[in-house]
Amino acid sequence: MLTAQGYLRRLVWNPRWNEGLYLVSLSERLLDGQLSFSRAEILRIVAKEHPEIAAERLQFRLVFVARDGERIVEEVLYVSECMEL
Amino acid sequence: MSFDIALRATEVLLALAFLQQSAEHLVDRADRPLFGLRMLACLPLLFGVAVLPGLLCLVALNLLQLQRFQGPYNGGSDRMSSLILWCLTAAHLAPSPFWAELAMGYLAVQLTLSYFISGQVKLTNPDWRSGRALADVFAFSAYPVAENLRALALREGLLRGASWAVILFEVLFPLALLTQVSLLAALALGAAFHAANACFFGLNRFLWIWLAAYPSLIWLQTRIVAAL
Repeated sequence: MLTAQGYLRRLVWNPRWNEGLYLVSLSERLLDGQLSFSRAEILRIVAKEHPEIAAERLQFRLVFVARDGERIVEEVLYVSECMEL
Repeated sequence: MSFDIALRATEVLLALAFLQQSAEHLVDRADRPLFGLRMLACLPLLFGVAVLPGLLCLVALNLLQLQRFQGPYNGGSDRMSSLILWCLTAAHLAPSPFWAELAMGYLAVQLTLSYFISGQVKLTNPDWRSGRALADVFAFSAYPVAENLRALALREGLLRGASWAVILFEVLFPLALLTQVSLLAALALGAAFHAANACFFGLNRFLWIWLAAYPSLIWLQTRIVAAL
């Protein structure tokens, strides 16, 4: 839960959140066919944000959530190859 | 508002918005050179010294930024950033006051359309009219900044009211140009709308960059009334 102070601070300083929105945009671009750049950027950001990952190779999947009538459905729309970090 | 004041206010607000955006990019080591330079290029605009060279540097950096991210980094806020930057530069490079006014007028019209078209799209969407679209945003989109905000998805009446408030504000926005008082009131509402989006959905960059376009519209409204 965010405090009022937290909300105010985020009006001027919210780099991680904006990077998260960039990841959402990259995921959409990847599905639109902009493959190599979006894949490389997603991998770069995941590796940067999770330095605890000791692996040399990484694989990710994109799960999209949407409404289908009264139901909320999740669908895996992309699974990357296992790629060198 | 005179043209010169609108131009100067746009320069200062644009510089502040760019400084805020660029500072956030400095967190990523790979982007520090590009956005460090962008921060330096904002200083002429902020202090009103050598504004045109500053703008030309920012235009060149804008192209590098588009190449770096293969498009906008932050969606609509980056598109509005580019629009204001290019219109302001065009106004400074214009061969006569007529062309300078045309550049700033174009920005003002685009600002008006940004609200009107957005409202028109929502108005024709049954999910927006029923409040369900907003409920879905709170329920499962990536946007809510805190998990406790997701509970708002269950407040049907509140969300239907909020949806209609946004739709009516956006589609009726062009009518605010009729008088200066109505325009200032609409812009205050617009700023509150962007501030709410920043608080609920973390869209902080939209707030500062949309504010930077407001002086152009205040000037245009004065200009239209004076011409009638």
